[in-house]
Amino acid sequence: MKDAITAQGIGKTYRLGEQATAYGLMRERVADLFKAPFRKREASAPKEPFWALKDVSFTIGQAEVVGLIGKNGAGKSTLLKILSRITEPTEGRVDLYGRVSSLLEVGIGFHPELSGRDNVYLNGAILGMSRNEIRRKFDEIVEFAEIAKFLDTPVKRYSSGMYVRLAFAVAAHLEPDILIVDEVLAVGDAAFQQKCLGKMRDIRSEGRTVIVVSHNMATIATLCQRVLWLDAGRLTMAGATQETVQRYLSEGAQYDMSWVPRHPSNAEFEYHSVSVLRADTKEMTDSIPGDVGIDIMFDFSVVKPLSDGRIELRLVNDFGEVLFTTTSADPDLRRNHPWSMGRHTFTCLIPANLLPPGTYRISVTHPFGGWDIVHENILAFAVTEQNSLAAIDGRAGKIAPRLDWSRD
Amino acid sequence: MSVVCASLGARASRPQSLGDLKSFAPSPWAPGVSPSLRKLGGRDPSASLRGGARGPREARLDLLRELGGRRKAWLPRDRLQGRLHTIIKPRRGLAQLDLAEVWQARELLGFLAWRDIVIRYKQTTLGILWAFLRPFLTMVIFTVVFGRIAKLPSDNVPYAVFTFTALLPWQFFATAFAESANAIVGNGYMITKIYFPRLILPLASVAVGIVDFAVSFVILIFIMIGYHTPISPRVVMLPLFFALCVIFTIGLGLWTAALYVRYRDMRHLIPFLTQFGMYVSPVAYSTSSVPARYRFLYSLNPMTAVIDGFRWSLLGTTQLYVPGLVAGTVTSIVLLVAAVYYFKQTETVFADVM
Repeated sequence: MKDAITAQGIGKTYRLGEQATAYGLMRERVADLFKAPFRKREASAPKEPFWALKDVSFTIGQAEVVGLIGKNGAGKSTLLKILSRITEPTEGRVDLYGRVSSLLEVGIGFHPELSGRDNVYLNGAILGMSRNEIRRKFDEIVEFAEIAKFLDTPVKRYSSGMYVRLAFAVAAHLEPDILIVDEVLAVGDAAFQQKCLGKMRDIRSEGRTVIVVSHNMATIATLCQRVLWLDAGRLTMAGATQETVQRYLSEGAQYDMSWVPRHPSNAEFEYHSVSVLRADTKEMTDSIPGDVGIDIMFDFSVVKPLSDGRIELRLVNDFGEVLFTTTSADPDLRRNHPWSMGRHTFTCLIPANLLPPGTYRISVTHPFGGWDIVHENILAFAVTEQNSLAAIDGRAGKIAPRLDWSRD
Repeated sequence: MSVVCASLGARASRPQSLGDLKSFAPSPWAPGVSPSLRKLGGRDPSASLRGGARGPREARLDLLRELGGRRKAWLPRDRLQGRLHTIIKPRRGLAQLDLAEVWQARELLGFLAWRDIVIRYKQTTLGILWAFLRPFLTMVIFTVVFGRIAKLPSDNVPYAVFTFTALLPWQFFATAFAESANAIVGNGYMITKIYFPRLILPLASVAVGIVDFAVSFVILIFIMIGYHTPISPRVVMLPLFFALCVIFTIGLGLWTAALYVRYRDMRHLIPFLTQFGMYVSPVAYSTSSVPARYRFLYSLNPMTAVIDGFRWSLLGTTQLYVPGLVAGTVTSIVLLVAAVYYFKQTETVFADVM
């Protein structure tokens, strides 16, 4: 297999504080000019360079689809920007073989006043297509975007769905040898997303090389053969998707059994802790067998009585998918649920035999403001394969409940 | 974003558990060649070049034929390799000009210029009429204020014609300079999201100015007919003076555009420069009113040579001051070369500073 991309020791540094001077006013530079001769060469403390990327080397073969994962600020975007030539590395070298297209965003250069037709040409040209190429693919693009009726309407009149579909359609009809994609897949309604994923698979089967960044492990798992895992600007691991994603998920998640807010939230209400417990033994834990229920315990104080208090909880699986949302008012069908003053303990029981093995994360809301005030991913716990139905036969499904069957 | 992703993930056919990812291994791959290479018969072109039966020339021609129709406009092509080969590494020393890259992106330049022109007249009642009205109204104001009220001499030509011949290049310069100076910062959202030769942006702004210039030129013809002013046969020389004007505008525009990224002071400086510039250029008055001892100093401003050149070739009245013309030309060319280098040198940090 021939190489499509080779990167050798790429590093990128932003000097701390550089942003300020780079953005700065000319006055400072002019003032420096005058001050310079009079100022002693004081040993100005050398500014600590901040390496957004350091020593990143990898090789990607032709027709490989490679995922790029890592936490926020791990350097994923910087790496993408270097590969797509938007910014220059401070050190190292990258060789790219083939036509490169990068999609860090869809619809670059779209102008709201212009019609859909005009924007296709404009955006296509910005993405590097020639006029002839766009003309040739024009009908296909319009059909893909499903906007034929509105071709001559200014895109400012488009619904956001139409806008995004058109933007993606142009991008999808690029014919690069190497495609660099940043989470742009996550656009449009569900049906269109399916279509985009299908298009991505086509791209793959056409033998193009793809680098895709995503926080969604499901996308990564379905699309990629290999994964690069960046952490704090360094390549932590590069390997087969399954292995790398598993390592990333197990190390990336915080396995705290109990969460205590760092700052008191507000005067009227305060969380003391949120904890995960085994429902059978009531001990705090971070891993629970498949056939044991899970208690999520909320310990909080109400300073001012509330006529309608409600805690909401959301459970997210390995792949970033929301499995369910539940609220403390559900048992009363969300009728008003007055809270008295004082300290309370609520417990939410997630039944045994519901969750398949995997890692789960919990987000909870503040009783005021609903999902406006969210404590995100405060806890994580694992459901182990022990006595898990899903582990026995590897059945499909995001949940694996043990349901009642009546037999004659 | 994560919420959207999650719902996408829910749609994606999902592996049954992490342990079962293998069943989602990609469908069998196409043979490891891209379509463009497949067209070449799947052989490694570089191999055939190294010692194949065919000479390098034929092979290269083959490749050009194959790639010609569908190459991406502005990527460097390593023809002997048969694949585009892009090298990304820190630039050291003098920047590479890579003007070929700019030339290859000329279609994009056209699209951007066209976009700016179309947008300018969208949602206006008078639409494209404004293209005629703007220069015309300026001329009327100048004629009333400087011609009638201040009674400035106009070399024995109707003042309207006299000032319009100067407004023609001046307005081109003023708008094209301001627009191109703003081109990088104004399109910052594009700079940080995608690569294309950055020079295209200020150049597109200048291209818009050239279209405006053409419109104004038509108006000038009508005004000259209206005032029964004969057009001098020297008009054939006009393109040379306009070329000088364009060179100067690009030079100054590029430089300012690159400076503007770092120094946002430019926002305040640019309108001031164009306003000040008009007073030190012979737009409202004639060069003949400038005292002779200041003549050379005055001519260091390339716009002096441009405007005098316009009057000389259109009206045949103004005398050409040759040292001034030479000085203006040299200034413009030096400025352009320096500006292109400065621009290329700083463009690597555009996306970081933006």
